[in-house]
Amino acid sequence: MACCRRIGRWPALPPPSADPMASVGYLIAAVAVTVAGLVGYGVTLARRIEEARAERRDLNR
Amino acid sequence: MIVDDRAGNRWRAILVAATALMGAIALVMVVGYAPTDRVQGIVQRVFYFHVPMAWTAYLAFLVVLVASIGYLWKRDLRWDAVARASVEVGLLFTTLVLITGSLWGKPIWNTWWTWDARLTSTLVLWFTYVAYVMLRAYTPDLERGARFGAVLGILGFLDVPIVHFSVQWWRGLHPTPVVVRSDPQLPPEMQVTLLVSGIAMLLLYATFMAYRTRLELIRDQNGLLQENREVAGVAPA
Repeated sequence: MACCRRIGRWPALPPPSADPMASVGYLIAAVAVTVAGLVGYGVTLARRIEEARAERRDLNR
Repeated sequence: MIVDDRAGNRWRAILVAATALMGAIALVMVVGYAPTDRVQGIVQRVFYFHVPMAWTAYLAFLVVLVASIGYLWKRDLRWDAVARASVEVGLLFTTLVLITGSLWGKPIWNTWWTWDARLTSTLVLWFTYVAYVMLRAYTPDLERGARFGAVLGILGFLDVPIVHFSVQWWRGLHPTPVVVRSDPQLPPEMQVTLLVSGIAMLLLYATFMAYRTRLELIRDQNGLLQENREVAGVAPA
């Protein structure tokens, strides 16, 4: 590869799997991580807002 | 003092609904409309959320840059609230970009990670904004933290063009752009799916920002209320 000759530091990598369907597990993992990350952040954010509002109510009392 | 924010709540609810609708459409298109790549196979579909999340992370750090300049110029803590919010949301997207990229790289490159220029500069970007979060957490004085954070928010953005152009400046393993160029190299179905995913991710960013900025403003109000109580000699709540 031109990139390897030019930089000269890439490790030699074995070729990836020839079966394109073998990668379905990686796709599922990527979707799961993305959904968990985004939904998890949204839920945590909602909880933090509720805590801050409760603190404000206490301070205004 | 309790601020009435019913109009803001309504807008935020509309934003959530629009994000959910667009996200559902994008998911259907990614699964059922976009064709399967002949060379990479099904894992190529990671592209439809990996790339839009990377674009959204760029946008988030651009917002940090603008808000940081705004804060240093006006010394208005609302600019700082926007910067703090956007750093956190940008970090979330950058984290997911690194993880999904790794999950794509394993079957395609046969490695989870390589010190390619794009990957390395993205990791540097991630560490920069982790440093921002730590800086803010360990600087209790709000205005002092805002000032330091604004400087880091401006300097940190210098890495964004490096990340973007790294695939052109240095030749490595990461693919070069296939969409943002004069002659897009994607079939129309893939382009449309990517566009819809991009819009969904943009709406998600806007939703997170709306709520995250709101959180910062409530916390700032709480801080001021606490100070007022202390000045008035009232015991902490």
